Amino acid sequence: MVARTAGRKFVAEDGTVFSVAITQSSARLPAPIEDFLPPFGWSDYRGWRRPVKAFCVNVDERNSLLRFESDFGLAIAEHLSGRVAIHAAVISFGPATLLLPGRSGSGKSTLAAEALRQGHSVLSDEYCVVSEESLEIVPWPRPIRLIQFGGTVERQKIPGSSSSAVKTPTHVVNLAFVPSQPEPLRVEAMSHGQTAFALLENTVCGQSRPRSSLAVASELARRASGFAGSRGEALDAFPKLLSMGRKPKNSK
Amino acid sequence: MRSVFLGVFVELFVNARFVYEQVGNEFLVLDAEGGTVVRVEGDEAVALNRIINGQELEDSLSSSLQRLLELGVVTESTRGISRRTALGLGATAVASGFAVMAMPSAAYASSACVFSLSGYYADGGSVIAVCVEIAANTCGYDKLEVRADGDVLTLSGELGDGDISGTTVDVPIEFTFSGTPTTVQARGTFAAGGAASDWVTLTSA
Repeated sequence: MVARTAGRKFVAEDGTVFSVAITQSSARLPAPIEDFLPPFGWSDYRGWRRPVKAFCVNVDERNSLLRFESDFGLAIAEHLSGRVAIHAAVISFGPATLLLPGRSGSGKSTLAAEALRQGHSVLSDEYCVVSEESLEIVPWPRPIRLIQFGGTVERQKIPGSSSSAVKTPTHVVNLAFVPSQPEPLRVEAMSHGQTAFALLENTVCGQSRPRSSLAVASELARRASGFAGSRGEALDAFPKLLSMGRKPKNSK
Repeated sequence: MRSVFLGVFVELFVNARFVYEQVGNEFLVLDAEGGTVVRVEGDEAVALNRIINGQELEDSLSSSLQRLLELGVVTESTRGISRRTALGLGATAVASGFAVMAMPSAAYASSACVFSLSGYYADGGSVIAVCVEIAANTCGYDKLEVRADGDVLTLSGELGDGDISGTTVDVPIEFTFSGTPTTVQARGTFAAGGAASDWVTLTSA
């Protein structure tokens, strides 16, 4: 088996250049790397600027592709321009748009998959990309990634992903998924300051663009109701999240 | 601005290095240089609001003002000298009225997994045997990765030995390594990719 490695360079929205070493074996038909690239925020680069970071991906190996999808997506999300990415699932139902901030393992993808199963619109299971100017949310429709027992990852495509932005979210639900917790969804209203703090904690560019992160998190929190708590099982939690989303915004 | 504080005129300013946002009745104060953000609430937020708006402070807010001064959010300038320059993240940070957070890195934002382990290694020449005990694994990492002096090692035994099962990997896992390592570290990973935990340095047996 002969392995060949080719280089490819990408430029992010803010001008940062990344290089990717793509290895493939001539023995197999490789998976197209395009399926594992972020939905936007990058373009091919053929200039001479020095890459700031290099990625390696073996397109013959699914695990390598999944890791690349996660790592490269994070790099692109950090280097957007005029937009701030927040680590959050975004679910739209009726007039309400629900943000579920949280990091890996908090249950965002499970809730997003459940929302999809129930016929709601999922804009992303991973990043809420917010325009700094309009505060509109740009969908980041990568496939939902569900970690299965044993560590394998199931990728579930988001059907009919909307390419247009949606308005500012109406609700922010900062949920902690505690697997061992048998109780159903239990949330309490957060103050707007707590909501902003929780959003800020999940911004991807918190260190590289702290002022933009602060401004976006604060303005989102002023406009949305925030809740915090634990969610229990996704199937039980989702109807309650929906009914909560239909309630008027809190006045804090 | 000039404020009355305990009967004395002093000039109080929001420290120039800080950026703040008022959100409801609270403030988020960012120290962009120091990479921290403070949420200010309660009387401290009332005091801060008055300082920002150039209003006088009542004596009842003196303790709140003192905490804002200690934290460095507000500076008191007498004879043009600013005393405070940085957020003090000590005792004041945990006082009521404040919550302090380091601005998250991109990698931090990608993983809130709690994963803690302790362990030791025994150097057997070309083979390192590693034993670890995992104290917490909220993200369900299912593989253990080990590196010696920065080089990620490959298992020399059965691949299954590297799987995380339960909370203890009590059977020594053997990794090949040429030379005598000075630093051996381990971390949790997902077999299918994704964010890994931080590296934890193991002690020599």
